[in-house]
Amino acid sequence: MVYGSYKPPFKLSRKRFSIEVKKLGEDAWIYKRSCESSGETVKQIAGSSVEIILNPVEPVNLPSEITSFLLIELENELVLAPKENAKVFLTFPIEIGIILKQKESYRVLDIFSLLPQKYTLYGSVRTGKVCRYWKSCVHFKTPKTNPLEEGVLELDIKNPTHEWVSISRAVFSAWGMKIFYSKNLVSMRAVMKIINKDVAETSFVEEPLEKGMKKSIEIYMARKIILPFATKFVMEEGL
Amino acid sequence: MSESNVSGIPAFALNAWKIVEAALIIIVGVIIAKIVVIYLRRSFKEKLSKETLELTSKIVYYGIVIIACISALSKLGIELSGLLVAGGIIGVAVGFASKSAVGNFISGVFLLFERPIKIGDQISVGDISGFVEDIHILSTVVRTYDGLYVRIPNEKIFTSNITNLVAHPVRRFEYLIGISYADDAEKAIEVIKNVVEAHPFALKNPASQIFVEELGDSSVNIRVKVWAPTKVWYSVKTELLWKIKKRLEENGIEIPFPQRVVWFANKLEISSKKKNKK
Repeated sequence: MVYGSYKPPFKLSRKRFSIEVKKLGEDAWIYKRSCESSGETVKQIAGSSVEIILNPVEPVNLPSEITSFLLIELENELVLAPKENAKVFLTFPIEIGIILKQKESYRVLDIFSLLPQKYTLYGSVRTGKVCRYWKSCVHFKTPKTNPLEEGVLELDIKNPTHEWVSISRAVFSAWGMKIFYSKNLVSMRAVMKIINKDVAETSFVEEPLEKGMKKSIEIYMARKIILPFATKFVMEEGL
Repeated sequence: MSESNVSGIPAFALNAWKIVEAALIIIVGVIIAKIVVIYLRRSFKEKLSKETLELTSKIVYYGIVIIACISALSKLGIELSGLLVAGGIIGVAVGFASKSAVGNFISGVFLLFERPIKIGDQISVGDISGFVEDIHILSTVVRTYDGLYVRIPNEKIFTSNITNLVAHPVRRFEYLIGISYADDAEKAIEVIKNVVEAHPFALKNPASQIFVEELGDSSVNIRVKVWAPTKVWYSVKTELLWKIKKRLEENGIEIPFPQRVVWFANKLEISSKKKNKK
């Protein structure tokens, strides 16, 4: 498994990327990461008991952080009956975070991805939100994915209304993302509560999809002041 | 005999001491306010946006200073209600005396309420364009794109047409790209489309538009309209144009110089004479 904690010096080599941390001197290290999609990154680290953590992180950081929203467009529209719930599985893009740890202090050193990124606008030009864009098929059981590229999002859609609703996309706030990982799977669990045929609220559940999964460090939450309402997202501009 | 209180200290000395006390309270208040603001800026620099941090700092600073002033006034035995009446009368007098200052102040208050601009926004007012660095009570400070400091009175901003270049989350830019008449315009459109789609910040929605706009004098002109997030709009605009140019060249599509075909009624003869140097 690639994800986890490493004590320098170490070298990690995979088909499409490699990470190496070499000793430079007394308590000094050099970090080199090369990836076919984003080239090479070199950084120097100073610290006596540095630990390096590789985690899947909130997928809204690359190529630069301009938004905190992820929009997943469904390959095929999902139509949900009144007063019904549906549990579906979507995929989401993975960004791999390299995080420095010394005692209880964390710092993001580098983030990269093996996938290209794309952004979109959810809503109108005047009031909409820029979102990281991802297109996913709707699965009704956990799909098989490469945990270095794609994660699995379990979406529990609740329709307490008296009308049929069509869902073609889901927007999530990175503030509330709870990512879990294991050797073969990266996952999140979310809930979409339908308010009416055009409005829904999305939020995350802090539980792994499978037993034994480890929780990723929430870099987004650690970087900024969290507002209580920011973990949820109200989709007011259509489903 | 001069007036004195029971402890034998003269009244004027007591008054002087009260004034000193009041002044000290204000000075200490200002110092505390400055320290708190410095601490606030250092602690929350990375966690809050520049605009929110500036606004919070100002509220905290003036809040502490106002509390210090009220405490100082109560030390002097001045009732706040009486001060308000006096302040009202003085305010009217000062208002008439300093019309433009009051105009700027009122405009500043309206700007704060209406919020057409925020600190950090890129704006264009009259012939001045740049970043809003600060919004004061009487004026707004703009840093132009070439780094000049410009102070604009709030009244001027309030009564001018303000263009806020970053008010909306996304913004569109466009190019007109001419290709040779000999090249395949459909292939060129396909090549441009692929370049645009590969750029992460060329938005999926609203979708880009790429089409032949006109048959020009020297080229077939293709219009390219791309939406990008306002935060990265300029860099996307500059990056994409060069990428499109390179990719068109790689695909053998020529971006022609302006050219004109000239037909002569009579056949032209070109003759050359060789000079034999002997």
